[in-house]
Amino acid sequence: MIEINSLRVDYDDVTAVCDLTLTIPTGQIYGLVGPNGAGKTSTLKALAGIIQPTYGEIKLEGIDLELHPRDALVKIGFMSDFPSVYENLKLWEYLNVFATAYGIAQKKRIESVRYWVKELDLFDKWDTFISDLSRGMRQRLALAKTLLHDPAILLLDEPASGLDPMGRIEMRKILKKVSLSGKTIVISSHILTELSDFCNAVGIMEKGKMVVSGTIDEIRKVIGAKSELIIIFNELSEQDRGNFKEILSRSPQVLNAKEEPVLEFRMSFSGDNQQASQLLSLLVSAGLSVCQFFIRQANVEDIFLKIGARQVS
Amino acid sequence: MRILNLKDNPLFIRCWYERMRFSVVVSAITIMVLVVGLIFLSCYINQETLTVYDYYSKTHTPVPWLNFVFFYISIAQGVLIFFFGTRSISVITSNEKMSGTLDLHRCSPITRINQIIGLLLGAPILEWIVFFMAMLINFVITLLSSIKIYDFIVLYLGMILSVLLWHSLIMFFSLSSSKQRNRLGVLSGFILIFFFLPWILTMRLSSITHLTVFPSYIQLYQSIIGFAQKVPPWRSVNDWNILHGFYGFKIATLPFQFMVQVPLLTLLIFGISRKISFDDRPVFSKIQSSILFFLMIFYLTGSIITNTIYDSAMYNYYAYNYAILYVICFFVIALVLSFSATPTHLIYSKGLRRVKKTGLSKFSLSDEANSNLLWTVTILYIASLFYALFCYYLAMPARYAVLVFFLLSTQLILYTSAFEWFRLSAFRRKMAYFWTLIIILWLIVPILGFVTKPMVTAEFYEYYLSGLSPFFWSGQLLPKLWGPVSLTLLSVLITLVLINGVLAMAAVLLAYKTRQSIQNSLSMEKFVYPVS
Repeated sequence: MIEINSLRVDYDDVTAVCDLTLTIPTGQIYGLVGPNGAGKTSTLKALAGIIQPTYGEIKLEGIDLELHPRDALVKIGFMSDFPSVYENLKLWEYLNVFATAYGIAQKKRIESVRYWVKELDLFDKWDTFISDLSRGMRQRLALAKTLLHDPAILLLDEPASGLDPMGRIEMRKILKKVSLSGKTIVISSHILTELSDFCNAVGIMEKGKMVVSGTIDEIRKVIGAKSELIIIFNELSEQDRGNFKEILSRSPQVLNAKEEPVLEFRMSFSGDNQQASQLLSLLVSAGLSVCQFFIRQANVEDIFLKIGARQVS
Repeated sequence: MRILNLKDNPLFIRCWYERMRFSVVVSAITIMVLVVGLIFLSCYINQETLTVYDYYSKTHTPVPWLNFVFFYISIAQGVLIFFFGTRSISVITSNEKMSGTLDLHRCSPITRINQIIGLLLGAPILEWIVFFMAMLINFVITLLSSIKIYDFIVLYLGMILSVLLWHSLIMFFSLSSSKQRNRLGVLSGFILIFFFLPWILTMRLSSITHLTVFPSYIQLYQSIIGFAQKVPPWRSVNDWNILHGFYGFKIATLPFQFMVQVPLLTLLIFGISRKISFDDRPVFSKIQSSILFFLMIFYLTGSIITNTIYDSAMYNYYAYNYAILYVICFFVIALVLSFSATPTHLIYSKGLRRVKKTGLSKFSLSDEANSNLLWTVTILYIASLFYALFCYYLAMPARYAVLVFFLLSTQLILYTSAFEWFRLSAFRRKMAYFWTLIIILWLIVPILGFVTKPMVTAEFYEYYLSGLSPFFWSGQLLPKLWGPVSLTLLSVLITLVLINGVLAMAAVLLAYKTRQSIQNSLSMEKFVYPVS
């Protein structure tokens, strides 16, 4: 569990984080979203004890970071956006250094290192110097370092930054796997699709302020984000179009239907699954050749765009 | 984690992995064996010529060749650990900082002291291992030769302590100066010290000398060749007393080194710890700066007083030299520490926000975000005690001593407040203006005074122009304060105190106004709370 109370981080002329109050319950995967310079990294660094906040209280698993830093820091694993590595060390040496830093007993160190190297598919690079690793491998190595001591809280700052599309997909797979472990995870990114798949709560930051925060369902309700209904027809005569429009006009849950491209209609839908089913029955019984009919829930990207249109920038 | 449990120290392990690669270790040991072998060979072959010339008996006395082997090996060790060790610690510490790996250790549960020890002992680990191997050879030589075990212990304890102090200093600079221009600043500082060093060395200050490893070598040299001489290798007993005197007391080399080096090493470790914890903090807190200032002035005064007691010839003719040295050292130390403890705009505003948030009305006295004025006044109080003691021993007339102290104090307040004003005001991004102003006031204007002197008939005309530069006015005024002082000179001194006093008050006022303006702007700040 992470509790942040009135956190403020200042740089010379910039307030990076302004009075942030936030609670992230145990096991939640919390996506911190926002454009560059929104204050995501500063928030994570303050949580990791790397930067000293102007003021504010941070509790990690109930332990005050300022009062008991060593007890609090052992609970977290922090991964920075740029993998900070020792170029002149071998892969296993690097991990062994951090296994020591987190107080893993000497006998268990290599065992633990070996486990995470295998988990992150780096075993064939065991004895390779870090200077010879690709960017993607370094990111995985940094993640292995973060997971080494089995922290209760993971702070991941743009874990896929600088990776090519394949690298991103791989990183996403690994993160999905990690997210199943029941750890509290805070993951920041300005690439929304990275977070859509596995975050169950998000906070959108802008200019150091938290614009909105909560589970995706809560935010949907708060901002009134509607689901999108997509209907694709096989063919559609002029008469069919008329019937279709008439059926839609009788359905109060449907708004702003637009045809884009031909034979594909997108519209806002505020009803539930039963109402959607009724609508589909009406279309089929009217003889319309419905090819596809599906509802897309508003994801992180939609929420961000919705918020952005209203409040951000 | 225990402090000296190096096998559980991640930074030590990191350095061990990086520095102790098989090929590197083999190369280092090969080179060491070759160098030691060469020393043995050259001393053995040339043992007939290894003599010591005694200036007093005018004779050459042969010295056992093993004694010289010991001496040359210890010199090679010094070069290795001071030069190559320094390079290693500088490179590794800078890399830790620049690559961001230090941040990873910062957010791990490892304590700061373990981080410091890991880097301090780990970065030059290869040099230390070679050093200890050579020390083992020298130990065997000690058993086989006429060198006393006591001298062996004194040399190596003194050397290890000096190395730790020096390495800590380098580590401190590497952590403090991340930017290229800061490094250039440090380099300029070293160059400046290099130029002033010959002059400082002529002052023969025991405490300054004992900050280095040289007294250990002097002791060793005496042990190695001393028995061959009828009298100690010192030109007079007086020289020995000056080298080992402190406030008139004689202290042996090793305790003296511990006395001056251990407190400084401790303070440096505190400074390094602060820089490792949070990079944007001043290197020393106000209390630490005050202690450091106290120590430096304590050491300086102790040495100068010793010199006035034992070096009567030098004192009688050049008492003002000590006074000039004292004034300049006092000013430089106080100013450097004062500048380093001055809060930046960020630290000051952060401090204000913290105070505001906690509902307090003002800073606590020790808060590092607090203004520097109080700190300056505190150190001036500390300084006045030593200054009084110093003036008493140097027999400076009391009225002039008071005036000089006022001149020094007002200048310190002037430059400290001016620096604070620059740091807090909109000029904080244009610090070049401040340094330009300093160069103009401390160098250009006094030189202008000398250049234009022939055009002006007024007596002491150039003193007015050098009145803002402690380096110039101390050199001009102080030599004239022993003996009869003319009324004109006294009026010059008083005028300079007044000019500096007025300027100091203006600077204090400016800094105060700037602090007020920041406070006002922050009081208008609105706190925005999250939407959710």
